[in-house]
Amino acid sequence: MKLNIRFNTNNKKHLQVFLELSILIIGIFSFSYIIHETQNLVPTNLFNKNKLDQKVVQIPFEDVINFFDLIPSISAQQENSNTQTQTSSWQSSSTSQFANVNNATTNYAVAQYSTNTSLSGYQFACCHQTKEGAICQEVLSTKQEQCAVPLIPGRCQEVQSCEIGCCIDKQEGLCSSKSTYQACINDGGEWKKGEECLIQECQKGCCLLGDNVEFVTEQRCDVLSLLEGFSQSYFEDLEREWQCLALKETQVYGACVVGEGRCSQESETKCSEIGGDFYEDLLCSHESLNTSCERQSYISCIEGEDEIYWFDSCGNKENIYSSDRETSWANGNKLDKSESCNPLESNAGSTTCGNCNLFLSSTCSETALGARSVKDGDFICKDLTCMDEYGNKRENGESWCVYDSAIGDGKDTAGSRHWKRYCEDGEVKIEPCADYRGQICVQSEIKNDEGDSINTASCVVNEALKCIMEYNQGEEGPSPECTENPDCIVKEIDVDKGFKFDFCTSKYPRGFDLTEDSENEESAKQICALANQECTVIYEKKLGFGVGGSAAQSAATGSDWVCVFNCDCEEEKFAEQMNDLCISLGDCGSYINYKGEGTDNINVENSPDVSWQEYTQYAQPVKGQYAQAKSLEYTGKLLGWNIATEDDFEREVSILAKSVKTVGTISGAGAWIIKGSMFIFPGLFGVGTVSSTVAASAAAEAAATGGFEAAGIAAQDPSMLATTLSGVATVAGSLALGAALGGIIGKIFGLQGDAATALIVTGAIGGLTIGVGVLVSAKFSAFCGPFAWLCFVILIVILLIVAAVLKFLGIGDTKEVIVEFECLPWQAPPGGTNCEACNEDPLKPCTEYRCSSLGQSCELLNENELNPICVNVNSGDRTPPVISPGDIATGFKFNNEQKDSVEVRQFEGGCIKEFTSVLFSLKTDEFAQCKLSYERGKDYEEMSYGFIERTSYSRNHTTSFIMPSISALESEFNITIEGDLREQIGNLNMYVRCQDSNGNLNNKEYAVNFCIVSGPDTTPVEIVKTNPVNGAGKIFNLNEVPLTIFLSEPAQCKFSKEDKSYNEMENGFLCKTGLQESTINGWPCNTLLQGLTQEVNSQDTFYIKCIDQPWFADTDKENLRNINQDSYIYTLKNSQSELSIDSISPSGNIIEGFEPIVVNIEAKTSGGINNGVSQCKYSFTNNNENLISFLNTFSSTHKQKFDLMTAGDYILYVTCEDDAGNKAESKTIFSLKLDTSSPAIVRVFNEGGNLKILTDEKAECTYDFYTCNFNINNASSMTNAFSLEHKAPWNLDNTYHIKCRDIWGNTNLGCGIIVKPSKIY
Amino acid sequence: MDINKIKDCITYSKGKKNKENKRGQLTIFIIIAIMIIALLILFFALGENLLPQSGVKQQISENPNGYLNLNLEPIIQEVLENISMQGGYNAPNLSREIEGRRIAYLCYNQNYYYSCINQEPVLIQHLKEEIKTAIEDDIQKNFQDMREELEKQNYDVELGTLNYDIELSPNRVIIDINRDMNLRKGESIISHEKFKIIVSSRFYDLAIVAQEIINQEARLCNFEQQGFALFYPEFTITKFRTGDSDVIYTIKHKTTEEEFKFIVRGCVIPPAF
Repeated sequence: MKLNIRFNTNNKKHLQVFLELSILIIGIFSFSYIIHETQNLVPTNLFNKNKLDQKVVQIPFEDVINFFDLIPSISAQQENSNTQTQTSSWQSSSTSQFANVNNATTNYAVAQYSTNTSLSGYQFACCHQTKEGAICQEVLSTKQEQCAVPLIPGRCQEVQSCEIGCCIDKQEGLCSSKSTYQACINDGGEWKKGEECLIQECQKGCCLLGDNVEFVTEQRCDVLSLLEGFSQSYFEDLEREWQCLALKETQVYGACVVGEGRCSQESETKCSEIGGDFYEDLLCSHESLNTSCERQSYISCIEGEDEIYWFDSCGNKENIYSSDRETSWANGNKLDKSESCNPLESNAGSTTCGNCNLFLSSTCSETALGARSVKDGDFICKDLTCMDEYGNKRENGESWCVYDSAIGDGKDTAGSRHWKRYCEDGEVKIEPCADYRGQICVQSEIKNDEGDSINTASCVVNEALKCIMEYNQGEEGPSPECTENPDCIVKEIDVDKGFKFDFCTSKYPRGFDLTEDSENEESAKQICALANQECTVIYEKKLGFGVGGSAAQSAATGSDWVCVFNCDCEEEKFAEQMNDLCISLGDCGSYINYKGEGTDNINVENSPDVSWQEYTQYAQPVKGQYAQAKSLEYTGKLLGWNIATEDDFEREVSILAKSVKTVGTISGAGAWIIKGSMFIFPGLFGVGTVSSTVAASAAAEAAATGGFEAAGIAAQDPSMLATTLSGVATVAGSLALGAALGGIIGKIFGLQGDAATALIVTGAIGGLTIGVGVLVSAKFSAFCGPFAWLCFVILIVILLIVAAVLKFLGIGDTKEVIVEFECLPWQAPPGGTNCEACNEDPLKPCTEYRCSSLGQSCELLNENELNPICVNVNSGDRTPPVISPGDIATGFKFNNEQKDSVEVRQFEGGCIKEFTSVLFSLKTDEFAQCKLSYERGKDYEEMSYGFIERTSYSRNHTTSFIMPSISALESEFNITIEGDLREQIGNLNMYVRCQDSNGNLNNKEYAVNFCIVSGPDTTPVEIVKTNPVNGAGKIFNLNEVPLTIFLSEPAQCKFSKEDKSYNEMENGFLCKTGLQESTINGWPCNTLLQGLTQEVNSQDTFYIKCIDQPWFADTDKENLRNINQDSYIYTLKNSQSELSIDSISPSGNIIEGFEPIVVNIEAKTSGGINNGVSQCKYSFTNNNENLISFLNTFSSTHKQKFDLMTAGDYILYVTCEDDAGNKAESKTIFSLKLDTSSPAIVRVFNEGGNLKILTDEKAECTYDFYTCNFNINNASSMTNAFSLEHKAPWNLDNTYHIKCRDIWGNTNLGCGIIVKPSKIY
Repeated sequence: MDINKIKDCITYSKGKKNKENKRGQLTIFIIIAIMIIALLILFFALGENLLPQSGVKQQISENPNGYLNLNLEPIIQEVLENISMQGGYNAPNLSREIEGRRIAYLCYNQNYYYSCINQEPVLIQHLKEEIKTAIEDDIQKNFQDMREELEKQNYDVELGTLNYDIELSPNRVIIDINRDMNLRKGESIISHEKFKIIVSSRFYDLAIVAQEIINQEARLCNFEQQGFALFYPEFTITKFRTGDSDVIYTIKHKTTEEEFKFIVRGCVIPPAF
């Protein structure tokens, strides 16, 4: 059938509809084609380039990351729970932590050994004992050489002897976790499965041991009870350690009166055990008790307690010390801490109040003689606060973080380490976190109600790699965990529309092994390579200015090529942002070390570079900046607390707080500390898989580019909206068809960019014209013919012509510029000029990592010391140490300093007189060993280590030199020193050579010149020291005392009791005058001072003079000798009396019920040189040997406590001696008797209708009518208190089975007596 | 006249003689030799009076325990110090040298990341064995010395087999010795069989703390010493982590200043990877 299409008015509407539909259909295809072609113009790889090269990084890292889940790091005190619930929690926690052991072990192989090798091929074997001696270590099966015995194929966990479990020491009641089977049973332990020891036998509870408590297993409680002589008292329901400790404070204390007048301060429990009469809250000195103990006899500290206490004369602790004795004694009533003086203060340094408080940073401390102390003894509340590096006061127990440089935001510097510092007993101590920033220091601030705050810090595992490896897995960008994990940050790279992505990276980048030939070099490269990126920048040749590109760009390039895409990649911000990412991955990129020196380790192509120098500000730590601890909720879960809500958490905290309050002594800061200790916990991590992708964002955004935007805009021309739907369709269809024709023709001609755009625009305009023309003009419609074919043919011709022209001109050509960023491992600065910066801070000991970050040739020496040193050992370094003067003793100076020499002179500038000792040091500009010689030109090996530092590498080298005397030498060797030799000695040189760790040695010796005063010696001798010291006391009434004086030079000396000339003095000294007879104090002279005064409190005075240069004696140079013009006045005081030991207690019999027996020895002295102040020693043998000093002595009261004595007879010999040498000896004899016998009933009778019995010792007696086998505690008592007399009603119908118990608990076995009352008595 | 001879007389370094000074050396040697000879003369001349036990000589037969205690106590103290400063060993095998002294690893894992494996799970028993081994010769020697002393006093001494055990308990270390000792002099016989040496020491208390630290390190890769100090202020625990992540623990009893030192290696995080 022939299609008869006529173009007439009747058919006009039909035709129009048909045309519109046709154009619409064509338009659909045309637009599709346009879009298709548009995408082809933008390189598809633009959107993929930002993704990481997974082939490179994913294989090793995704396995390694699982190790983090094996590294719990938790406060020691937070896991003491033994309830079923908590046990379960722990178990589940542990399971999650260790579930991956098998996988992790496999991963280990990757971690340690794999670089580019696949995972397969490594197999573990179990080594029973390594050559180093470690048991049950897993090694690679290929490493037999590490193992002392043949390797066992397989994992240690699969070898019975190395199976890990719980080892129970039955003998001690102790449990050891992570114990191997064989090691456990070899030492007699009992091994059970379960490495965490979460078994009943190992659950801890509270063990009450007299006044003390221990948080231990029940079995251990048995052991301790037995050892310490207590009956077992175990509370398994006290599941927390602090609850247990609080129990100690709940013990009721009071006076325990045993026997006549004997009293001790005991807990009710203990008093009951020893059978005493207990008087709660009374002191033994309470008048109503009528004991022999006198109140407030002395003061002292008590081990384990903070406060200063009064003690009574029986040695019992009374109340907390206050100089207000009456208030402190409180009429013999016990005062609580809160009722004692200044309970809310630390009382540090107070002379009136001994209410010290450890939690407020003070504690009882004994003071040195003469130091500030409380009024009644040599004790004080010692201030335990510290000052931190900024001069801030820190409380005792407070901890805080210290950093080497700025931290966070991925800016931790190479070589830097995190440090935890804490204040303990007034001293700042350090705990270095793991090096290479394997751990970070986190800090929390805790405030109390008053607004005061303290800090707590802790070293926790740094999850840096997890941020990088685990949280970038999704296509949508970093996972939410990245923002939740405080160790991670999201780096937003936003350079341009086509180069924009987010990446989860580490907030505190991990450090790399920076040493040469590091095994981990390859790994470091791979990590850094995560930031390797390419940005494709597109340029296009423009048709004149302004079409699709910027005129400025075009003008700037001086050509028609204009950047049209990712243009900012060529700006500085590209390298800046990428380097920022690079350095956050680890020790990568252009960055600095912790001392602010850096290197450039990035490679940027086609874009401006960035230098490490732009980061130097990060070398300084930022005050107040610290890493945040993980959340409390997270921590609570870690602790196994059953926490579902915040209330749950508060509940758990309040349990702790209540326990603390129960303790009573803890308040304020103490509570903060405990609370604070809960805040800081290392993190555990969940298990996850790993991906290493960067989310490419803004993919769709990049679609609308170049001239195709115009087509889109044209398609949405708002003017068209005014037309009818059919009109719109016609116009739009024509436009699209025209544009499509332009596009197709452009494609045929291979045009791109502006040219293609121009063609499409031309086509669109043509199509638009046709569409509008057809729509509004019948003539035009008629001209174009059916479907406007003719007009479209014309349009095609036009387009072909335009295309040919554009093709000829080259318009629309594009070109790509690849901007590359390569992130490389950070390298230490060349050389080693700054190596020694590592040694500067003793609170930050140098390590391999820190040292190697300071320079390529820095190396750590003295590694086996806690504070090793970092030196420059560059093999290319041929520079020997440079020696220069250091310090010199007062009165002298270094003079005429030259490159290779220096003079030592008197401070005033002259030569140094003979026999003078000069202490000085030389410095070297690097760590070195130094030797010296007095002879020039000696080999280093022949020289001597004459410096105090000996063989140690040091920068300071100290020695001393004694000026020789030429005349003395002449005399000594009977020679005459003249000419050059005299000059040589007079200007003696000490030659010094030093060698650095590279073996570089000074070619030229360093000379230290000593100039000795020439000419005759005109200086008289000086008495440097005497023994006994001048003004000392002498033994009472001693007639003669040997005296030694020490002289500054050889001399002869005399003395007299009157001040006379030397020659008139009648008494002489015997002096050492040889040059080599000098001691450390000088040349000694001895004599015996005789005829000393016997008068009390008087003194003898002696006048001493000397004459020097003894070698001139009886020669013609006698007149050259110098005599002291002024006498040296020496005095010796007589003692006031003999030293005497007035008393030693105890003596006689001491009866106790249990061993070990505590005995407090106290000796009192008087007389002597200083009212009895002396040192006393004791011995249990009478031979004056093995004398041991009293613990508290150097006063007139001397105390010693023996707390482990056993029953027996003892003689304690005591010897005391005062400063003058007065001695006194005495002894005390005492018997420690153990009352182990039960009371004997010595008489039974009827008295006043009562059955009365008498016992041979104080006892309590009870009776039972039926049997001897009754419980004495529950039977009828015959005694009110411990007594010798006991009575019960006289009942003829009953038989009295009587049993008695003494105060020590000794009880009759069976019956003490069986009594059947009768009518006759 | 050689100048060196003169220079030999010059002293330096805090009055010490120049080591290269041969004359000085000779002098020193002579002095030392004279001192040694003098001491030997004194020793033989005064002999018994110089012996430390001379004062208790008369009591030995009645109180041999006192004799042993007197002589063995300082030896045991020294042994305890040595063991406790070396991680619980007389001669540590698995150890590291720190400040010139070898200190044992009590918990160790040579591999990265893994927590340490308890090397002495029954630590107290191990310590007993170490002490026992260390003092064996001294005990034997003291019995022998005692025998000689008693024989000089005309006793016939019969000694049985030596058996002894170490008891560690809070505040003290006890050596329980079981050995039959019969002393005959004429008709009289004195018999002893049990001897007890009690040494006041915190060795046991320190070891218990060490075991607790090891337990927590093995389980948790960490021990929070400050928290511990809060509850047990009588101890100071110093934790020092070296650059290669060994943790050196020093437990110190504040009052007696006794120390126990050991090393833990576990959960070691290698550089970056």
